[in-house]
Amino acid sequence: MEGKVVEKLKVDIKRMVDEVVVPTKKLEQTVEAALVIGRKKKRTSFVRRQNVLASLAAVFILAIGTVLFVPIILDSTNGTNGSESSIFSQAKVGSNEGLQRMAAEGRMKPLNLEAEDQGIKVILEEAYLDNYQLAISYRLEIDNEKAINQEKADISLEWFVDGRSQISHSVGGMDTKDLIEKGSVFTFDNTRDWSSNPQIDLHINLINGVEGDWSFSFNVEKVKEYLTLKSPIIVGDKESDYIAIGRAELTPSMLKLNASTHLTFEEAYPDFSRYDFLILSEGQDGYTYINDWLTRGSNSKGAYEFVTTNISLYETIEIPRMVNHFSYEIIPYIVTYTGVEHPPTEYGSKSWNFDMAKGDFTVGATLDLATPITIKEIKQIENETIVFYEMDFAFPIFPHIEDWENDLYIRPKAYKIHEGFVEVKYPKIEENESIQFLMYEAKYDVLSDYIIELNLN
Amino acid sequence: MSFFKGFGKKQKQENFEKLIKQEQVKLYKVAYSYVKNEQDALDIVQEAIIKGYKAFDQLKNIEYFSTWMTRILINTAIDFLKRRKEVIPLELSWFNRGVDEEEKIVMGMDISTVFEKLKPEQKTIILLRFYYGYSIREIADFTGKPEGTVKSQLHRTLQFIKGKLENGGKSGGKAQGRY
Repeated sequence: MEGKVVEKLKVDIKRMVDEVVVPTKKLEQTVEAALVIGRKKKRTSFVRRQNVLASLAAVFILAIGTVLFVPIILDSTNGTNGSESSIFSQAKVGSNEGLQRMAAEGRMKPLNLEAEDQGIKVILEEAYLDNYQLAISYRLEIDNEKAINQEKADISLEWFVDGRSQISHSVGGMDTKDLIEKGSVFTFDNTRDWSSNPQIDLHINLINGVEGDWSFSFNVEKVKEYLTLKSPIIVGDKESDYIAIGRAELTPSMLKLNASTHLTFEEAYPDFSRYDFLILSEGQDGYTYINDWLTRGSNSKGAYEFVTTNISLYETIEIPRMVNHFSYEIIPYIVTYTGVEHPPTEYGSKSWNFDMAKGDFTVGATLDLATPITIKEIKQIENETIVFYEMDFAFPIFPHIEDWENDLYIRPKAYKIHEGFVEVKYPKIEENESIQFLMYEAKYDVLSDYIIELNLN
Repeated sequence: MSFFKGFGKKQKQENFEKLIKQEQVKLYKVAYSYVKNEQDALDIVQEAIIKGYKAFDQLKNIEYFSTWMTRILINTAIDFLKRRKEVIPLELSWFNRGVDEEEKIVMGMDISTVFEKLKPEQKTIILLRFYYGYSIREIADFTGKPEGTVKSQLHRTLQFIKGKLENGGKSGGKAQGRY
């Protein structure tokens, strides 16, 4: 290969690596956690179970991915088997609508395992396993001064599946107070290749800076349902502009899509334009359900930056299965906000202030948008809150509900169009003075030539 | 160097901890180059440090700590990728997308995108050669492969990179779907 090209490659590779942004604090925590685990002298036996593992080769730390996570209030529907009290059903615990539905349907395996060390008790309550994820709900009881005084929790653990050690992770950022009062959820993905009833061994080494040993062992049966797309779906012209779903995987708790988008636009979009999807499904109850994605992840350069003249994006989209539907309509669109960009922080982080309209959570309130929306009626039923909006319906984007006192941001989950108004369902909202409607002032450009029909029956 | 003298178990622990703190940023950057994901990179770094900590007694010459930890890190990153069995959403090779001259230039500059398309072993060779500046022989020692194998792997990888940088996505492959 030509000398100059090799020289350029050398420069480019060095720059590629050197310019990686380092999350300094997280790295320091990671290193410290690794050193703590490395210092530990011996294994201790697990709380339960006869099959003690042989020497462990690696440690594992679990992290909660928070790529685009927004806290949601979850529907506390009645279910069988006492799911109302399930940690999975509660807000802000790292659960999602898919796991909530699994809890409501009584699909969680009760564990009721406890381990206590250093004045900290860890209680594993329930577990759920399918071909997308293993989820384990847990609580803490803390009688350790150092641990209780740490406001933001961090937990490090090793874990094993059928005796095989898994890669290390750590979980952190939750309020310690919430872990005690409400509990939280560990989630582990990439479970497709696991056996149908694997033995799971958890070994927690570190809680809020306190070294200890909290060990658990249990089996959990995998919910087997697993559907995949038979062949990729491409909409558009594969030689120029298209959107495609290369792969789709559906389990009871999650729909996971691998999507690619290659679009060019004759005219540049204005500033603050973003590319997004609505993922709709029709219910037998006459409502259209809005299936919000939980995460979108991509290695494509500039993946989620503002759109101007083109989109070139390979991504993975994870959509919790709030409802048990198998057919979806994926509607791509460009949303253009108005607002201002703030100067970057010292770490280079950017932020924006987009214009939005707010309205009181009362009948008659109006969101003062370019096309105003008025609250015609609010109906509270057992497990849902239904709001009737007077609005010119063009595109199914509806107000969200903010509960600023409880730091909750509640999205609409389904809608039904009537003559002159739209009926929108939300998870049950407990009314208080801190609740209000809000909606961004934005323009929506639906890419109607690229709507995808996805059927996984 | 007096820093390396006087081993006891505790001293050894402290030495490892001091040395790893000097390496941690570089380890993270290299791990990130493999996975392009912050949390995965942190996981890899953590696992590598734990492995290194446990094997530190086996390191005879402390002056090679950096190379030694790099090897552990790279092997950990490769194992991670193999275990994860990452699904590429849709290979660029599915579509023969017309690429105009301007795009070629833009794509030509995007080494990061091309690097992502490499297999883990290819990434390793490129990093060792062009980031760490190792010779073929040193790469062979590092990876435990014959020099000839390293040479031909490097050559093929460079050809692949060159092709991607010049031409973007390659043509071929039959698209299937409903539209």
